[in-house]
Amino acid sequence: MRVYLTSPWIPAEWVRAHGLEARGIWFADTFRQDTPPLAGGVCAFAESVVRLAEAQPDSAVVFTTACDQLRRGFDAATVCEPTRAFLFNLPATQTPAARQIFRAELARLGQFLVTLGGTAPTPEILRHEMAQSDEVRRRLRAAAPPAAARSYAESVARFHTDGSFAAPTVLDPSPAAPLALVGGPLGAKDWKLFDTMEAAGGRVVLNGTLTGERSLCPTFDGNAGWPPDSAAADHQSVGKPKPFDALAAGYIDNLVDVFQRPNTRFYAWLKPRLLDRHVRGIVLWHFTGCDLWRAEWQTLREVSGLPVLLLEADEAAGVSPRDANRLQAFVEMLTPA
Amino acid sequence: MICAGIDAGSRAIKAVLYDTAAALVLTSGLADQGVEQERLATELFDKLLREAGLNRSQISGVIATGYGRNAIRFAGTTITEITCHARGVHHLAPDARTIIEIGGQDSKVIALEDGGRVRDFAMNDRCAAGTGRFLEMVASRLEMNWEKLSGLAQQSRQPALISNVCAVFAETEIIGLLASGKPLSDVVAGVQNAVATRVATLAGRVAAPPVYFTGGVALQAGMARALAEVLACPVSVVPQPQFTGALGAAVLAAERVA
Amino acid sequence: MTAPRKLSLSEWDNRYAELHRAGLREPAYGGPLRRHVEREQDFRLEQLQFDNSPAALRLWNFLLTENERLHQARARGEKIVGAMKDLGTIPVMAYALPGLRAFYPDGAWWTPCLMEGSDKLLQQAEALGIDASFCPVRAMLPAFQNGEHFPLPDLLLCSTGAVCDDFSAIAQRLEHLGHAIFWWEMPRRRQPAAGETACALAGNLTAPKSQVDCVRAELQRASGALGQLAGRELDAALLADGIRAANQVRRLLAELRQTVYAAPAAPLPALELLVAEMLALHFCSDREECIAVLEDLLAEARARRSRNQFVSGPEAVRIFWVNPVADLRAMNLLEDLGGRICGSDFMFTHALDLIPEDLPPLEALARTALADPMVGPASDRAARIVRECHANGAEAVVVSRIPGASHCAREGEIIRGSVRQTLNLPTIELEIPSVCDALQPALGSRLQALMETARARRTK
Repeated sequence: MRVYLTSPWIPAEWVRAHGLEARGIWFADTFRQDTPPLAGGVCAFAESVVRLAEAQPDSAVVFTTACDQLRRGFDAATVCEPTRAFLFNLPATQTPAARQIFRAELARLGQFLVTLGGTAPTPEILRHEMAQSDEVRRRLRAAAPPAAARSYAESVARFHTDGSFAAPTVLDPSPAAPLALVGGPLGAKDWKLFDTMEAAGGRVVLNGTLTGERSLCPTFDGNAGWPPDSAAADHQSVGKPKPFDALAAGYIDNLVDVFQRPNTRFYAWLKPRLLDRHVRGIVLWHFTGCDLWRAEWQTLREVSGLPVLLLEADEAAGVSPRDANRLQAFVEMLTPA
Repeated sequence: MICAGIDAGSRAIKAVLYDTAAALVLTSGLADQGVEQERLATELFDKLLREAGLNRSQISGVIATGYGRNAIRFAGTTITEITCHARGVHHLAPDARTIIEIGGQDSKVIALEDGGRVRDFAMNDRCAAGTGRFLEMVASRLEMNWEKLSGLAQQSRQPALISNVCAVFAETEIIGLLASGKPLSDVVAGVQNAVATRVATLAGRVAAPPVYFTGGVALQAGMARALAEVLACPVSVVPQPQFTGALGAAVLAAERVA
Repeated sequence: MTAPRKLSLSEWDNRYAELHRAGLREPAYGGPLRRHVEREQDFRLEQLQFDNSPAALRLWNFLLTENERLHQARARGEKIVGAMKDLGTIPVMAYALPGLRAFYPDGAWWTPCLMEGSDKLLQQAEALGIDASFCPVRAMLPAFQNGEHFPLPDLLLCSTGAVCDDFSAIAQRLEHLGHAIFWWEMPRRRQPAAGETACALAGNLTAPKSQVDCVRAELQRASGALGQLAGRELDAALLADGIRAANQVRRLLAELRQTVYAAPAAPLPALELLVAEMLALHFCSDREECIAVLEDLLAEARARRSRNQFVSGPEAVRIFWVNPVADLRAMNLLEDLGGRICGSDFMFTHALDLIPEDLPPLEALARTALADPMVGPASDRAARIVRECHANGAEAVVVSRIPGASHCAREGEIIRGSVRQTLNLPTIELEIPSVCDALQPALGSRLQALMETARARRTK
C-alpha cells in the first residue's frame, strides 16, 4: 500500500516502519500531469493532491493542516465518500500544546496506517528506519553546497520517493550569479526552473523550497541519548528517549517553514546559508493562491537585504514565458557588467 | 562605431542606430508589431540603415530586447527590456534613480544604483490594469483615439474615482460613471489616475526620486502629472520615451563591443 | 409611532432633528450620523440606507465611535488588548479583568468600505507587501503602522493553526513589522476516533477531549498574559463572571435574531442585523453599552412585530446569508431587490452560542472556541447552515465570497452542495469587494435571478 505524503514534515520513517510504502506526492508520476481547471483562488498544488486522492483509491494520501488550501482540499476530497485520506494536524506554534498535538497526531496516523494494512512497529524497527533516513538526510545536507541544482533536486526527490541516497553531481566553479530559490513544493515537472535560471546566467546554490534542502531539516542527532546504532537493543536504551519520542521531537523541533508562528525559525535557517553561499538574489516561487508564501516577499527582502523576485507557479507545470522573462531580467540585474 | 538596438514590443517594434563616437542617436524608427516579427524587424532595420547611408557590415553590434526579442535572429544577443530601459534612461538622464515604464501589456518600475545599474525592479505583467492596454480599451470604448484621450484628460476639473483594480470591472465602472452624467474629461482623467495608482503600488516597493517616465504611455499628456500626484514627487518624461528600450539596447551593444 | 422605513443619510438629518424635537435622549457618543462623514470621512454612509429607529441610530453611533472610545480608554489608563482571528473567545477573558478593553483589529477591514477607499489603507497594505490577492483584512496592517485609526494595543493575541491563511500571513507580516504577537494554537477540530473520550460542543458538534484539553491549555497561557497586563490573575471566579456577562450579550442577540428572522416579514433591516451580530465578538469595546444597544434594538423589533410593522413585506424572499460582506451596501441591495435575511452565518456562529455555565470556566470557553465554524470541516459548517435554513424557512442561500480569502475557494462549493442535496434550495456565490459600486449591476442581476427562482418555486 502506497502512502503519499504532502509534506516532508510527516515522518516517512513512521510510515515505512509500519511496513507501508511512503512517497512524497510531489514526485508521483501522475501528479500534476494535467492542467486542472481551477476555481478562483484554488491552488494548483492542492487541487492536484485532491485529484490524485480521488483517482487512486488504492493508495492513501496524508494531507496536512499547514495551509487552508490543503485543509479544505481534504474536506473536498472526503465530502462525498471517504477516500483513503488522512488529515495530519501540523501545529503552527512551538508551544508545549503544539508538541503534544504533534505526538498525538503521529499516534493517530499510526492507527490509520494499521487500518491500511500496516503493522504497529517495534521500537527496533522504528529505530532502524529513523537511523537510515537520518543518515541519508545528513549526507544530503552535507552535499548541498557544492551540488548542481537539478542534480541535487533529483537526489532529494529520490530520498522522498524511496528513502535512498543518490549522490548529486558536484558543481564546477562558475561565474554564474548565485541564487537562492525558496517557496512551496517544487515537483519534478517544475525543475525546468533550474534550466531557465542557468540559461539566463544564474544558478541555484540554495534550494529552500519545501522539497529541497529545507525538507532535510528533521534530525534526531540533537536528541540526547539518541542511539546512532540502529541495532542497539532496547536494554541499552534504558534512560534514553524511546524512538517514538525521538521521532516526534526530531520533527517538531526541527521543521522549518513559513506557516509556523512565529516563523522566525525559517529566517534563522535561511540567513546563514545566504551568507555562506554568497547568494546575490532570492527567487520566491509559490503557487498562485498561496497566501503564506506570497506574504513573505517583503519580509524576505528586508531580512536578507537581497533583491527578491516573485514567481507564481500557474496551473500548468513548467516555466511560463512571462516567468522566463522575469528570471532573465533578474539574473541580468545580479550579474556584474 | 555604430551599434543597433531593436525593441520588439507587444504593440510596436522600435529600432535605434547609435553612434558611439559621437554618443548620439543617428536615426530611429518604429513599425507596427505583427506575426512575422523577424521580417518586420529586418525591414525596419534595413530602412534605418538606408536613411543613415549605412549597410549591415558597418554595424558593430546588434542587441534585441522586448517581448519578441528571441524572434530577432539577426541580433547578436538578447537582453531583457528591464536592463535596456534602465540603460537607455540612464544614458538620457544620468541622475535617474527610478524609472517607470508603462508599455502596451505590462508596466515596470525599475530602481537604479549609481551608474545606472538595476538595483531592483517590480513588474505587472499579469493584469491589464496599469498598462497601456487599459488605456487602449478605454479609448476604444469611448470611440476615440489615443491623442484625443490625452487632450480630454487635461480638461478635467475633478477626476472621477475608479475604484476597481481589475480592468474588466473598471470598464463596467466607467460605463456606469458616464451613464450617471460624469463629464467625459473627468472619467478619462480618472482612468489615468487609476493607471497611475496601480503603477504607484509597484513603485512603492522600489522607488526613490528622481523618477523618470518612459514607454509608449509616457507620450500621453497627463499621465506624468497623474503619476507625480500619486507618488507625491516630480516625474519627468524622458525625450522620445518610446525609444528608450531600443536606445538602451544599442548602448549596451556598444559597451559590449568595446 | 413612526412607521419603519429605511432612510438615506440626508433623510436621517431630518429624522434626527425630528427626534430631538421629540426629546430623544442619547448616550455620550450620540449625535447625527452625518458627523461621521464630516469628522471621520466615512463617505460610504452617504450610499447606505439605515433603519429609521432611535435604536438603529444608537447602534450606528456605537459602531462608528469605537476608535474614539478606545482612545479615550487609553487616555484613562486602561490597557488595550488586540485579539485577532479567534472571533469571540479572548474578549470574554479580557473583559473579565478590570482595566482591560479588548477589540479586534481585524475589524479594520470595514474601514476601506466606510471611507470609500479615501483612507488608502488597501494601497498602503500593498506597499507593505500585502497586495490585492489577500482579503480586505489587510487594511489592518497600515492601520497599525500609521496609528490613524485604533490605538496600538498593549497586548496582541492571535490564534493560529486551523485559521485562514491570509489572515495568518497578514498577522505574521505585522509581527515582522515590529508588533509583538502572543500566538496561541487552535487545532483543527475533528470527530473523536474510536476509543477517544468525546466532548460535546455547541452547535451539535463534538470533539475529542484531547483537543479540548489542548485549547484549554492554550487559553490558560493566554489568560496568564492577560493577567500580567491587568496586574491580577484571571481566576476561575472572575472568568465565570465574564462568561455570564458575555452570555448576557449572546442571549440578547439570540433573541434579537429569533425575533427578526422568525418574523413573517423583517422588522429590522439586514444591515442593522449584520452590525448587531458583530457586537457579539468584542462588544464593540464596551460590554455594558453593547447590552444597552442590543436591548434597544430588541425592544424596537418586538414593538414592530406587535404592531405588524415591517421594513419589507411578507412577499420578500427569505434568504440565508453566508459570510460577512466587505461592502455594507450589499445588505441594502439585497432588500432593494426584494429579499430579506432569515438567517445568517457570518463566520462566527460559535460567538453566538451560549458558553456553558455548568462547566469549569476555562473548559467551557475552550469548548466554545473549538466550535468555531472555521476550525473544523466545511461539512460541519454546512450542516449547521442546512439546519438553520430548514428551521427558518429559507427559500434561497447566498454564499458571499470575501475577495482574496483563501478558505472561500472551496468552502462555498461544499456548503452549496450540501444545501442543494439536503434542502434542494437555489444557491449562488457572489464575490463582494470593499466598494462594490462597479459590480452592482452584475451583483444585482444575480441576486434578482436568485429571487425570481425562489419565487417561482413558491407557486409550484
